Amino acid sequence: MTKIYNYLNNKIWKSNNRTIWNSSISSGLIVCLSAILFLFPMTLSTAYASSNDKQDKNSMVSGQELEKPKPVFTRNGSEISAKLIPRAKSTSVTLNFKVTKGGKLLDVKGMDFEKAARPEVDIKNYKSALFVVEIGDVSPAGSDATVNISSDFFASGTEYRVFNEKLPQPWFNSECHNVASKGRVRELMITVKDGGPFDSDGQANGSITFVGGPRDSFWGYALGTLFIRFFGIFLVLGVLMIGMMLSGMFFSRADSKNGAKESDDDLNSTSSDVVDSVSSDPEIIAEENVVEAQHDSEEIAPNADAEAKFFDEAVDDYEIAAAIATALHLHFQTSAPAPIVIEKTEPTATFQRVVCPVQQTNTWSNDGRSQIMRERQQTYNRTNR
Amino acid sequence: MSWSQVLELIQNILITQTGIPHVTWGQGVMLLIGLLFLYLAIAKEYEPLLLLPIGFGIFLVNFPLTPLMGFTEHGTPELIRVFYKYGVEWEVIPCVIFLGLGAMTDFGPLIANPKTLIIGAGAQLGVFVTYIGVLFFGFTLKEAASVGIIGGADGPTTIYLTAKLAPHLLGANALAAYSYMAMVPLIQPPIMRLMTTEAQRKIKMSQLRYVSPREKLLFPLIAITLIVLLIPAVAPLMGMFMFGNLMRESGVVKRLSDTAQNSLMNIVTIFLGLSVGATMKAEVFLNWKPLLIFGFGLLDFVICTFGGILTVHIMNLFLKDKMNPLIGSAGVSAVPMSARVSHVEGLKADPNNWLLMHAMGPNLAGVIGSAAAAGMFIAMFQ
Repeated sequence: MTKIYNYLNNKIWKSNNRTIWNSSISSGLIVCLSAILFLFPMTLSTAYASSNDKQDKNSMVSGQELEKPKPVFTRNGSEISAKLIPRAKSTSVTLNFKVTKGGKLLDVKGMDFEKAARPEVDIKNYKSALFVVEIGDVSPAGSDATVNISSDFFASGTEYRVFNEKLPQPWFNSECHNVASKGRVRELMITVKDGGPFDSDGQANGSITFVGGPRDSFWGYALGTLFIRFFGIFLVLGVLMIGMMLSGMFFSRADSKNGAKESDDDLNSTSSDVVDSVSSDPEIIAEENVVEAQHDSEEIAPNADAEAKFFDEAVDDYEIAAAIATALHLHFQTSAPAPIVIEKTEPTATFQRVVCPVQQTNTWSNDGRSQIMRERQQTYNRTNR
Repeated sequence: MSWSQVLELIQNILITQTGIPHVTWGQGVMLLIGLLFLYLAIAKEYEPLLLLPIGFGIFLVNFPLTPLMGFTEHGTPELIRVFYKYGVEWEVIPCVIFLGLGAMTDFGPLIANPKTLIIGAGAQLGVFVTYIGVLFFGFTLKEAASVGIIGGADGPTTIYLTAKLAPHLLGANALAAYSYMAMVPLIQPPIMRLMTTEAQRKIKMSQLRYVSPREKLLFPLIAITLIVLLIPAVAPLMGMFMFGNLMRESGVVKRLSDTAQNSLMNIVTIFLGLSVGATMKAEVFLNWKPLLIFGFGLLDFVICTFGGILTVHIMNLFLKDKMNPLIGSAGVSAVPMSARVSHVEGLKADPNNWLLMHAMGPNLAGVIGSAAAAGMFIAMFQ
């Protein structure tokens, strides 16, 4: 074990910058860690759950239990509204019940799904609970009444399923009419016959007890929303990408314009500075090109103080520039002969691309790049996430 | 007072005022799990800033009769419950962490190559596959969404979404997210090698263009406008993220930016870690759901990595300047670890291939992508 530990430790944690990891070791570690994380607690948890009598059952939290809709009913004239937070929702919805024809709405109550649970029925399809609708004054007894249930929570595919435990097949579709109403509201219109299969009391006695609930396909919703939302992310980030490309074009254009203007200004000012400075320097005067500059600058040089100042700065700049030029020259002489190619373009709407030399194999440049990358890694080290 | 009365008194004290008789072996298991995470944080330096407080939270809260995560008889929350209630339940801490992250983030690589945003979207594949996968195991839609987001590899986003949709899974989800984020260098390379050829790993990408400070300054404003218009539900997270970045890029509020990056971030990290760890009491944690979450979390990371690389392959079919598919794995947020992994894998294929800055683009896109996925889920349940 010690050998294995040492091997792993050396191989993984103390290898060169912790970076060169053997894939088989990686896979092995994943498996080991997974085993620790899964198998160990899994064995114990099963035993624990079955053996611990003192365990508080309420603390074994179930998502289904937490999301159980708890409708609150309010009556407004002949209409009863149920306000509830359906399963898979965080905001409340309102379902309005009324009897439009053939009777009077007496009461609407919520019903626990467990009372109507059957193996063939999936509770997930019933997002907004079950309701017991009581209708009275059905006259004549045994006639039909029309129940109207409206909500903006219903979709065009919403059905209303009826539960009647007295029937051999207690769950069945009410074949309701699902019609669009004002705004996003949809209405489910169900015709219920007194004493018919929808009537839980089973008697044509002038009152109807109608148990059921709106049903939406859980898997249809889950899969549908999966695709919509996954491609929604592409859409959002695509829009952001287009926005950034446009802003990038705008800024590149603006920057290149400014850059061109500044470089023109710099060029003008530098040439005049150079000219001013070299005109006072006896050593540089000997240089042929500077002599030319001197001739051009005779009219420009304003006064002696300014000349001296420009002279000092220009000499410094020249020294630095010469050092950089020498270094670059030596570097590119010693490395592969890949010249710097700068695609100089006029300021346009496209990016001004600078094509850098192909990455060289020279030790000096590699060391430099390694240094830069190490510094960048430090910059991007956000370990306290 | 007789001896029997003294003994009865001692017995009463032992039973009612000390924890020893109340220790269950479930708590023992949780103490060991707490110690395991402390070990990973301290000895292995696996996301220590989060796993250490989480580990200690697990350890502390699983001693019996501790007045830490409950409520008093008067309904006053106990110590860690206060942190949890006002920090996590009220969804404050994840947003404050996003503020700090925004202040730490340089969006330059993303702005220079906006195409990488698509990789960030593609790398969310695992989030949705896991979302469907866990539904088959009886999870509710809200639970499935909160488990799916683990693959986004973004701790604060995971905590934010879970606290909103399935707070009872908070501990397991946060732990899975941070554990796997720490294991990114172990999880990703085999998948990267599996999905790329030697030649593809050697692809060199052209240097990123220069991004001006003005462009960086305007980026948070442009990004937040577009994102919040399309997904208003993500405004708390992205709003704080972009606000933090604006503070950074403006350069005029250095003190605020520094505070957001350092002091504030550190303070909320302490409370976040401790309160997340404290949600993992034995009676809540030791059931099959957290175990499934860990299983699917790993799968989620794998598929997200796969999705990111696949997206680059697809993009390369249409691009003139090919992208190195290794940067696809960086689409899983986990900043900057997954970018580093891409860089390291690139170096293995070609010691002169420097992918770090190229990989930072999809990496940052992954942050936005996972927040967008979280926003999508929140909107779905509204």
